[in-house]
Amino acid sequence: MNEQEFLTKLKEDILDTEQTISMDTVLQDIEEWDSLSFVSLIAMVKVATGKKLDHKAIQAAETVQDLYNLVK
Amino acid sequence: MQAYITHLAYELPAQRVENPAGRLRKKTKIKARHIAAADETASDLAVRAAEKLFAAGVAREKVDFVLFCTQSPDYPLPTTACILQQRLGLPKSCGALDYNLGCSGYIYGLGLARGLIETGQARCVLLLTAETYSKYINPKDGATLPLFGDGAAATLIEAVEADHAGIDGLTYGTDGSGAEQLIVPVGGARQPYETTPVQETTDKYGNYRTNRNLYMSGSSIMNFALEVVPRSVEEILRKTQLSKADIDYYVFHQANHFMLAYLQQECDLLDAPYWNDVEEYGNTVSCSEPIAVCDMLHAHGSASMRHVMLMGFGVGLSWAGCIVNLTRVNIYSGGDGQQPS
Repeated sequence: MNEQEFLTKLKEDILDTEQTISMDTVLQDIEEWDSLSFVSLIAMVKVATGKKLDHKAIQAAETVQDLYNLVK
Repeated sequence: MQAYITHLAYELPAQRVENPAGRLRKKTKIKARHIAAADETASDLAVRAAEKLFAAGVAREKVDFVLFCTQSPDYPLPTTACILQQRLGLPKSCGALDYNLGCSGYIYGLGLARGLIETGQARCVLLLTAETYSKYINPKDGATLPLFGDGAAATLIEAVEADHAGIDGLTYGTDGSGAEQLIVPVGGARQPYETTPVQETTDKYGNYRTNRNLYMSGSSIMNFALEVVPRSVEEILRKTQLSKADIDYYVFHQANHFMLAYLQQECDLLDAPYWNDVEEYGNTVSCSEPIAVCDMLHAHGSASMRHVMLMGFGVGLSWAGCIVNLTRVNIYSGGDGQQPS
């Protein structure tokens, strides 16, 4: 998954947010970054890449770039 | 002699609660849930579901075993199934037992019923699943409350002279290391009400619960389901020597829309007939499978449903799946809780 694909999926499928999302966006600044998003992200990544993310790794991420680093 | 499902009905509490419009409702597609009244127990719902079968002409006298699946029994003891024998007017010669399982419980019940029938211990098993998780969930836990609804289902499994199995490919799995991922910690023998201090938790979104309430780690359950469900689908197909295309319908535990959609992708079933409908119920735990089967048959009829794959997964952690032949099933509920005409 490249950066652009990741950003599109994150914004539309996972967060379903009106906010502008870039690789530099701080996750805590996104209103929709909550437990529902965690669960969706885990599922999306597993289905798209086969990678298994755990809750702790996601919680440790501070920016969108950090999340992408877990996924790419 | 083969065990076949012959009759099926479900029952929902009268109280219907709508989830607020918003992101959670959009993703889960849970529009409303039915919630038991304060004085209404899982067994009350089970009685009403079973009475639908009797009202349709099923003879009470022929039931010779009742299985009751719940995690909300009437009492620590006696067994709720024994009380149900009396309340339903079943013969005193019938066997009765409770078993405690959640989302995998319906398939376990079908497996137990098949075992009882095909070893000659019973001829007509009444399988009742009933659940009231709403009583365990804290009303201030906005992350969990909108996901679960209450309900009950009654399934009759009978001995039938047939060439092929009516319940086949039974596959079970258990991982107790995940017990704490979906749990009501207090109230059993390990942490009794009387001696366990109440511990309160509020997450950063303001969701509040105590150790007497239901806790679910959604991300752990998602990882678990994505791991075990695709593997179990393959295992069931291998056991029954069927291919994915031979399956007339896939009816998995109806947890919520987006989880089921991801599971459909992960199991490579995007082009397959696949049921995904929680709109009027939410997650009804052990009742989600029979409710979904009823609705699916209401929509598509039973005539061609020779190979329907069922799969339950959740609390335990526990999972189970099988293939059922539904061509002999009469339904008495279906279509968003409405009675078929």
